[in-house]
Amino acid sequence: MEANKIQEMLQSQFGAAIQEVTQEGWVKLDRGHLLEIAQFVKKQNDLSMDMLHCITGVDLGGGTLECIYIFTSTTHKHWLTVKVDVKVEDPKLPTLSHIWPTANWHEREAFDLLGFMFTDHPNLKRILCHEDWVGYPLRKDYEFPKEFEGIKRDLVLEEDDVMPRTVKKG
Amino acid sequence: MEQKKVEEMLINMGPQHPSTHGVFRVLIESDGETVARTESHIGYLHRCFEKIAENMTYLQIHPYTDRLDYLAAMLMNFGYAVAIEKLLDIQVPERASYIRVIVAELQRVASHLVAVGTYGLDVGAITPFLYTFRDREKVLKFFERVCGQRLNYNYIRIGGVAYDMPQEMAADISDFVVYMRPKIKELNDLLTYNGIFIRRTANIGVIPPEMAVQYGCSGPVLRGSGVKRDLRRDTPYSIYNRFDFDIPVGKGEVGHVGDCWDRYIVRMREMEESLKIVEQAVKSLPAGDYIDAKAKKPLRPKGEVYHAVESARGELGFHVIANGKNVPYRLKVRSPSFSNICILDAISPGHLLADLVAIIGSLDIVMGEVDR
Amino acid sequence: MGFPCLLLEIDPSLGFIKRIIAWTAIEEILPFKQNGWLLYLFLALVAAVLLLVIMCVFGLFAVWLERKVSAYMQCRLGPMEVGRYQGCLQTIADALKLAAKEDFIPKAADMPIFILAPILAFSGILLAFLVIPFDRYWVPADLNVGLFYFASMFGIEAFGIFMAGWASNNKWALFGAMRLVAQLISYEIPLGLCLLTIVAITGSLSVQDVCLAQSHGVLSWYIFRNPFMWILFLIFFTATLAECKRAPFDLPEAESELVAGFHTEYSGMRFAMFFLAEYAAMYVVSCMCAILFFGGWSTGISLIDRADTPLAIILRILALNLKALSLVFVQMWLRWTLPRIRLDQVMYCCLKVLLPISMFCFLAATVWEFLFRGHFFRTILG
Repeated sequence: MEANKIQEMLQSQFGAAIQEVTQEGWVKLDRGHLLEIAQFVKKQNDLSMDMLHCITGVDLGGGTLECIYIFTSTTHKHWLTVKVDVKVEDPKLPTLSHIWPTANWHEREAFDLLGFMFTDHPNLKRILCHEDWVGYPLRKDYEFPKEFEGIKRDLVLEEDDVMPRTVKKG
Repeated sequence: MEQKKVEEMLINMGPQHPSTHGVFRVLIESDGETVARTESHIGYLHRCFEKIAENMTYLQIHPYTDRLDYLAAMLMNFGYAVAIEKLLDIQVPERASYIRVIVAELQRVASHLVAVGTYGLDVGAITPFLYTFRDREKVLKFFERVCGQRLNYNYIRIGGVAYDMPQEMAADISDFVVYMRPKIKELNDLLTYNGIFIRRTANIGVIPPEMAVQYGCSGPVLRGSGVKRDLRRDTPYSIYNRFDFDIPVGKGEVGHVGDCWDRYIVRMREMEESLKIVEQAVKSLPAGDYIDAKAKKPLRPKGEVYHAVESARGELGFHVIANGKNVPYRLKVRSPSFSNICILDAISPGHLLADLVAIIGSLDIVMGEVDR
Repeated sequence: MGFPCLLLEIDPSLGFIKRIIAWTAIEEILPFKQNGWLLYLFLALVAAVLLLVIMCVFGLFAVWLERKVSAYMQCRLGPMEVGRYQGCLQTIADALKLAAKEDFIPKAADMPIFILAPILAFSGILLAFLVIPFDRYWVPADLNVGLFYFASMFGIEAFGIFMAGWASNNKWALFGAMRLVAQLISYEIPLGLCLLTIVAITGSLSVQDVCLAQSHGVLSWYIFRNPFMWILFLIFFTATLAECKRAPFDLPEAESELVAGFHTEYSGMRFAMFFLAEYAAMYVVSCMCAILFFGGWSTGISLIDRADTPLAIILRILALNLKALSLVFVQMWLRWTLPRIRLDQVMYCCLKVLLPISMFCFLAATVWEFLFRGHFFRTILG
């Protein structure tokens, strides 16, 4: 099914819950309807988005985090991207891990790197970073730690540098 | 009589263990040799590629993609290049497209050779490993000729490939295809249809098709479960729609559909299909430019794209958000191994310790890609 | 080495030492030639040292052979540098390296047992060598309970390895040890039944008697004695593979599952002892296999078998070693060809396949013996 047809279908089904649709084929939702719509796209026979391909997120700046869900169907071979905006102060989202078990790890990763809080997640722990890591590395306001467990970091990021580089002391 | 308290033994498999294929750690609760429950821990190779990418220009990111799945670096380059090309709307020259398909499919052969070789090693057959490395060496020689590298190629670039393929190589690759086919048969005779090997892998780690889909498995793991999904066919990218090839799926020939042997045999058959594609591509390799002129200028794309390609281990997705600067605003890699390995905790209980090794081997993970 | 013989109060026919003494006239220059007990001790010591040397030399040779065989099978070259010919001194270099390594004992290990384990594993195999007759006259100790002694000494290795796994205080090592004990004890039964069949046919437990009974030409070899012997040979060979922890039965040290199995925590010379014990075990079981089924030192020509000239003796020693080495080669060949089987399959193979078949063969072979009195070929050939 074409992306715009999927958008139309979702719009006719959920109406106001769909906040925005874009030309590229994305759908922006209100987080309150995420669970409902996720179940719909999985169960609906014309959509049957049985595979949750990826969960990712982005820090849009200005205190907004965007969580991006990418669904695909193994039967119809079409794709759907769903976005949900949350505020940095309240980055709560419903978990999808009971609908797609793969969401378990993907949500943990999104939590680990961007700080989304997935409610009712069975095991919301850091997955890639160390368990006592501070901060969420992929947020735009993330500051590189000066040291980790006693290991000092002598990398600095200058204004015009593309990459952090080692600066000789003294 | 007083009831004795029985405790299960906790064993730490990894991060340094010969058959976790890298720094992967499984915490096993075992009852004797039987695995009662496992808990996977990843992140030992985490270097936050996605954060690094935010500080890199689009071309500078390329070498980092090599290091994701270092056994199939060409395909990683390919996935990234295709995503950025989609973003910039770059048309890849014909010759470059063909060269890409040739090296990508050769890389798939090389990667699967490592996968089946190390799988043999996991179940205790050492010789097939050396055989596969002998043949992989021939593929690496081609890569060396084409770009000077043997592991991290950085060859497929945005808009084409880094260097043109030498003229005389086409004939050599055709020779290799002829050489390789009997070698696959040899490997089949030595390992695939070996009675012990079949007994070690049949009905072990069965992933039913619905489960494989729900866990987001892809590549040979998904196809091993009998789901016919291959992005080269389903959402054709590059020029894959021009080639004739089959998508092998697991049929449960020696056990249940979706067992370790099915995943293994899918890889073996995929190699043959890849050789088929290489053969066709080499035959119709056109002359012309090998990189698009547009891609040689500094790249400042704007927009957002998610594109997945079929890597050797499954569906590799690149999600790029670009805001018109020379560095991406956000770059996310959907790595196939990450999704494939998360099924381990669900399928391992009840198996023996030796089976756990066989299951991990059949999922064929590369930690560089899982941890990114 | 002489110790168990003294203990059992069995006349150890240290024949080959006595012959050497007779040939070299060394007895004349020995200070204690009048003192029988001292002479006896001296002879026993010489025999022990000789056996140890044979075993170590064979171990070094077998490791090199294994490397070359595996290299040949895997399209490689194997060791090529040390020594002029095909890296033939590579294992000596390796042994020196191992000897120079730090003697490392983990802090949490049970030290006395940890130290004792490799010695026990090694000495078990060494003791099993005692009853192998290299020739009609050259046998370190021709015990009248030889086969029984062989089986029991060979079983000592299990103690050593279990102690190693237990004392290492490492879960992987413990797994390896548990696997080994389960495997070894199970495979002792079909192995014992094979030995029992031979004993029933020969009517003696002495290993030399088994050889002598087969020294009347090729057709007198037990493998040709009745059709069940072929099956028993295959069972014996399979069981010895399991006893030696060779692939496909190498579960106790399955490197892809248990890191290194029972010797995970061992390094240096202690590890080398386990290693040497494994290769010596391969040799001793191959010798035993050759003795039980292929006539041992018998060349297959009764004229040579009966002769008492130096040439005949050398031929006979060569015959035994050739047979044993061929079997060692088959063991290596299997190792580099087959995948490893799983623990439950190991047990299934033993208890549900080998055991019933070996029992049947034991019964059938003895009935056959009763009917034909071992003269099957003579009967049918007239």
